[in-house]
Amino acid sequence: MKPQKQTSDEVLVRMACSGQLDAMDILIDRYYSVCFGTCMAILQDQDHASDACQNCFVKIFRSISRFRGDGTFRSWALTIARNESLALLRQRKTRREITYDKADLQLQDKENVSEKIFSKMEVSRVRKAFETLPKKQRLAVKLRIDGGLSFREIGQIIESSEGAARVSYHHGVRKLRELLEQ
Amino acid sequence: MIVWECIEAKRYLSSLARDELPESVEAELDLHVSSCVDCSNELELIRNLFALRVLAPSELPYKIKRKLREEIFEVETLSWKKFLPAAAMAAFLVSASLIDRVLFLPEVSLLEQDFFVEVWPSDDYDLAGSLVLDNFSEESLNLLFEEIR
Repeated sequence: MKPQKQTSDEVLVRMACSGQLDAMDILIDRYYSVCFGTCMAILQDQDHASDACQNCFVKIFRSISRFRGDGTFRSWALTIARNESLALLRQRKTRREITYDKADLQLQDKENVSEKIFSKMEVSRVRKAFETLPKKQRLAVKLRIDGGLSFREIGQIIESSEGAARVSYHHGVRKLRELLEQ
Repeated sequence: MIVWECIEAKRYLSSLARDELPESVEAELDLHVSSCVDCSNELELIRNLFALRVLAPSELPYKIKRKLREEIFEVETLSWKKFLPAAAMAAFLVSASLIDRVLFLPEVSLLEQDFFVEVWPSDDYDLAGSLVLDNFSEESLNLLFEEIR
């Protein structure tokens, strides 16, 4: 049987276990973006996040036969993305900031948003305010907004409960608002 | 129709910013946000943060797929490559023993050669253990006597 784009994760995982590359490709297309978002939230560097994301998928498919299916494939993939990013972070020890140029490029891509508010100064202000948030709050906000992760998934990544992840997110957003309103 | 409270609405603002809500829920939430300054400000902040996010590079899925294929190919190659050192060692030992046999044959005197070990199968103490000298050419016998002497 050939895997289709609408085939469920469960079936795709079984196919990938038997070495079907088509099934692996569909899983990659489905989850690379959210895994990249997770890597990006931790590493804060596009090149490093790309490397971590590639390594993450290699690890996923190397050990896919050990995936027991207790949780969802998505959660499992995100946990591997988190571990891979943390390992890379420990390895490189330094966290580089995203350059303003990159942020500007993002804004140019989004015409309706760039029309709205952001000047270079404001991007810089948001970034600075963001950096002052405690680590868990910063990660929770990033993972929720950048990666669109559920609070349960965020909890797994920041090693908290679902409720604590929700609280971290809301405190982070509130604190960010206070900082930007000053 | 649900009338949203701030506490409930804020849980869904990030989903609203990401366009992930069903149309009916989105409309209800929009109604609340348009009449609530606090939620409106928070939604604006979330939309701004969302706009600042760094998207995955478009070539990333192709890079991942390529890397995965390289890894799989490497594993398959490794599965037979891992036997190469053992095979090379075996081939070396076999060829070394052949070379040894062909090139380094020891010079053995007639007395040390195997055919001299053959002895009379006799219970007679005088004859038992005597060398078998049948089928020896005269030249070989002379050489033997030379050596014994």
